[in-house]
Amino acid sequence: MPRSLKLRAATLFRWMAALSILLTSIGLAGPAEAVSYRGQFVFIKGSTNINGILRWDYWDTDGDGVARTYGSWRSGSGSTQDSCEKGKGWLPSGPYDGIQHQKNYVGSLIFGMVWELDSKKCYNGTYRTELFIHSKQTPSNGQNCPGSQCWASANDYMSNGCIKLSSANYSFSDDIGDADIKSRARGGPGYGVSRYTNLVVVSGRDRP
Amino acid sequence: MRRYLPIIMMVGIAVTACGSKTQDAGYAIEATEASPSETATAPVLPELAYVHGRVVRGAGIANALLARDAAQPLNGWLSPVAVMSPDKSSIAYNTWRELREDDPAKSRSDQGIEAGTPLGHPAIYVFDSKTGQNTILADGASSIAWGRHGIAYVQGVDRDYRAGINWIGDIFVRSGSSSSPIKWSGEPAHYVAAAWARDTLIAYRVDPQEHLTLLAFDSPGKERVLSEGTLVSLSPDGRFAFVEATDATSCVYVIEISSGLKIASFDLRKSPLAEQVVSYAGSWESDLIAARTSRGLAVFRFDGTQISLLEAMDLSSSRYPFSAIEPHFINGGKSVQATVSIPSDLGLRTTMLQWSIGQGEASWSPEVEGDVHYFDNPSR
Repeated sequence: MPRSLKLRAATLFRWMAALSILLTSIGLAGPAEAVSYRGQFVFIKGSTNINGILRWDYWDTDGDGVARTYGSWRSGSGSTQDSCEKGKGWLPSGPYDGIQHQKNYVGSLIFGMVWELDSKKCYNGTYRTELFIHSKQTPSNGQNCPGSQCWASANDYMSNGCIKLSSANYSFSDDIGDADIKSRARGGPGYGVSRYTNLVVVSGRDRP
Repeated sequence: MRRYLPIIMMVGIAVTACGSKTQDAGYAIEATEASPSETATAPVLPELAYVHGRVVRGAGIANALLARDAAQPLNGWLSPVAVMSPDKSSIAYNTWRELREDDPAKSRSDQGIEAGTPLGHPAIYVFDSKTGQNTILADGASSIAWGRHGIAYVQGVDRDYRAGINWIGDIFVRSGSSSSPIKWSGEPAHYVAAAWARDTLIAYRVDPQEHLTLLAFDSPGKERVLSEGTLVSLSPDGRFAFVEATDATSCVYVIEISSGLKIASFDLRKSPLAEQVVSYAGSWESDLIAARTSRGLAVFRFDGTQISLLEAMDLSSSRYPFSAIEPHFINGGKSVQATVSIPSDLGLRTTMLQWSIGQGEASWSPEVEGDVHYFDNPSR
């Protein structure tokens, strides 16, 4: 290869490397980042329906495989502790696939940041369905008080079964926004409709 | 029979914050705690008819064997698994045929279950006690209400329940088990037929996040929201609904079904049930209403204008963490009978609890394997 051509190739390589570093630093090098991490939410039921913990566990798929935690938030599920009680009980324990993750979801009852989960059978075979991780916020992730788009008290951690995180309002922090940022930064699903294997593992007492 | 001590006895004034007219509800409360031994000394014989798998017990029906196990995985106990016809000659019951094993200990993807995979197939059958025959009423259908107006049920748009797809359907009503169905609902949704209140059909719509909306259908296409919350029971004359909205408001209500007006309310926060919620699928006899609570059972009284809490009972949470299900009055309203699930690694077992109101006594039947469902008819 002529020397001038070698120099041009080396220059091009350096430019490409620099561009790659730049893209990585501003978060546009998605594919390379996404394949290096894998993760899942872990929801640990509390002593009550409103004092559980949700955390994001992740691991480097090319590394040691050891799970590390990146973010942990107070969360709630249900208003009773019977996982078979449709519309009231907390979620049955076990792993759930994700169905979609949306930042500006517009449903009939829930809005804004959501992760939709697959359904699951409880201890007597009843299916718990129409499940989400969500908060109380507007489609644009704001607050509209009072009402169903307003996070106002600890009782807002109660749900019909879904896992709930707080939105920024009163003395509560934007936990659902933080969970979105941190999970996406460590291998979690991006926005859109696509299945994400084992997005959540629910643990804690489901049986005596 | 085992006695247990009352842990709270008080008389107080309930100050309502529940949105209906203010009431001066003096009430006498006896909250008791039941801690049964594993083997009750005198097991009760269930007075209520029930179905255990394919076998029917009680109700004066001998040798009744259903075509399939009675089960309703799509709706839990939002409505009865099995319903007696108004003339008590037949039983309509929900069935479920599993099309694909779905292990809750694994995610769907780990089981190789893709979105759209058929998981189960619901169907409603009718058992005729005169002929002993089982016939299918509706294939791909779930939940039943059987009143003088006819049989209401929800016919699935897709007859199978599929992974990753919410099961939705339309409400149909037949004047008799062999009559043509007439559609009563509008757009398909996850409806659950709950009960008839005279000529009005009471149903749920299960919305995203499993939010339950209580609906009243007065005629085909004439649908209205009856109330937020869930149905504990209908009054014996079918005029009123005892509704709980305790998740959101800590309140229970009596609602006049024809007008939708709240005519009485009770705020749990001013009672021994302050830290609990009330649940659906109870019963109403005379002026008493039995309901499930977070930790046990409660009996309320409605005197025509006011609701009061008569008595509450806590179940031992270590042995019975899931409280009692579907409480029904027996002995002319002197006792309440309910089923209690006991899940374990060896499988689900069920016992029946009989609670003597005001007596401080409770008894348990021997445990049986699997699920037990009362069949009665909440329609009025």
